[in-house]
Amino acid sequence: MEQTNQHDTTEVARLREELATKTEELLRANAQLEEISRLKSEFLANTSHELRTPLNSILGFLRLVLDDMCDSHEEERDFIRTAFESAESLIDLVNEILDISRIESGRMPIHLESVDLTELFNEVYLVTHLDAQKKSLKLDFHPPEDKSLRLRADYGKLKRILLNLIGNSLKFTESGGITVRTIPAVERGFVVIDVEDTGLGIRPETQSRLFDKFVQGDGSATRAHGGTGLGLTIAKSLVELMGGVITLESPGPGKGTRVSFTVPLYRTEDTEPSEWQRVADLGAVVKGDPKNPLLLIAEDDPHFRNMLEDLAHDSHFSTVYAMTADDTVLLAKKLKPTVITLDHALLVSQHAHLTDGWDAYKALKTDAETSSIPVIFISGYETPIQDGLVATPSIPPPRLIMKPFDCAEFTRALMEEATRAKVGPELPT
Amino acid sequence: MKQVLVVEDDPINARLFEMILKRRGHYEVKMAESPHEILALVQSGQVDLVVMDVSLDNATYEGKEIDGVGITRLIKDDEKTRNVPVLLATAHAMIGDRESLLEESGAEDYISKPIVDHKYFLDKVHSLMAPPPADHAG
Repeated sequence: MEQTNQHDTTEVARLREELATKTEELLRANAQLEEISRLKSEFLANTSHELRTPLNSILGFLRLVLDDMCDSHEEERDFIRTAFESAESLIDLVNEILDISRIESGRMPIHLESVDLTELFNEVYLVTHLDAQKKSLKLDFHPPEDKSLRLRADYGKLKRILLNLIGNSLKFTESGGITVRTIPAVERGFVVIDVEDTGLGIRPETQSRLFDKFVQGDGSATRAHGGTGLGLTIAKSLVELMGGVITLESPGPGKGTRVSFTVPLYRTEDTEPSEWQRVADLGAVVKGDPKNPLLLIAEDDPHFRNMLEDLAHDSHFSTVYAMTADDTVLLAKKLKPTVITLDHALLVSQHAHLTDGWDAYKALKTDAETSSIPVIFISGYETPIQDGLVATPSIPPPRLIMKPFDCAEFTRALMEEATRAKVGPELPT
Repeated sequence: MKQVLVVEDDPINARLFEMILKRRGHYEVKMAESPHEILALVQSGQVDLVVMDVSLDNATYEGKEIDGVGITRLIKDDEKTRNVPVLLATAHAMIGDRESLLEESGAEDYISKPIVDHKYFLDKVHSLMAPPPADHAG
């Protein structure tokens, strides 16, 4: 009897604690939703403002022409041309707004492949050198000296980023030139691409805001140079979707600007170490002591994966990895790992059912076989997860680790999630 | 001839205002972008009305960022210039913008962009420049 009472008390205490945790989770989710809603309204207001500006001049100049308000035939043509140019900037703006919304809803398709920078630079040079020539600017490309170097990136997106950055430099540089450099950091698994100009430069107080939507550099100069104020926002998102980071620096007005971004290296697989054990039917290998708890790593960048493996082995985990979302789910079912870590950007194989980390997460959490396995989500970009959570509110939010990646944070998360998995309510006591 | 000062940071739209005011209203038009220049022109007494854009990218006054609302506030807070009418012209056209912008700035009137009806715009300009009532202090 006494024992039952004690058992009840423990049970009540446990339920209370569970309730408190759930309440806290709900409050946090609610705060996130409010923030998302606020940002969306702000974007809508800004978008409406930006669309009205070119519309105003299209309608206004055409009205003047229709009402015979022009001094001469030349002026009439000039008014029509101005209206036409404004219509062109309107269509650019609409396209970029659509891209932003595609990126923010996680629907921007990224096709990672092996990219040869020399080939990419040649192609970018072809479409930019005439504009540079017109302004008598030097335009230099320095591809990596190691010609065998390959990047893991989406070729088209990478080209677009470069065209955007070089386009900005061309607009704001009147003398000197533009240099595109590559600095390989092979041991760290990426390459830095640098676009540097000798142009107008940017005031320090504006620099940090330039990646925000609709923010342009120097007021009068920029307005006169056109542009939507969305180019850098899109460039930043594309860099991050491919697993890199982007920074901008300028010593100040008149002193030029340098934008640097990183792109992960593409590496062919290293030969497999002998201590690996084969999980034959899936072609996957478990590394480390099989008696240790197992960490399933969904990560297609071999260098970053090696680092995660080392960190896990140091914390007495064994590891297995998957490169695609489909394989991740399959391995999770087969091997029942203690913890799973997911990168949002994953390789997409042909005929894939699941394309990214969020897809994999959703599949794991909605399958009774895998739903109780704790997941650590690693991403450079929070939006796809937030949007995913909004779209499917029944799915609990994952533990999120943002890039730039902090090793200590990862180790801590790994230990905590493993502990939670062991004492979780799903396991019989 | 009456003189209108146009403050508008988009060069194409600035030119459009200039053309509408010159061709349809037969006003003289001056254009300015920097807050100092704007205030100096208004203080000089040559300006009969200001058409003021609300968002001015990166305009600064005394080291701080300022927009059309802030510049209008400065005009309205200065006894010498408060009688110069200001017509806010803005593409901020969400619900509630009109009231809050007028209240914040102290401007006489507001028009939203795109300006579809030129006559409506010119009527506003014209009526704001009408001679002040008899009990006017200035």
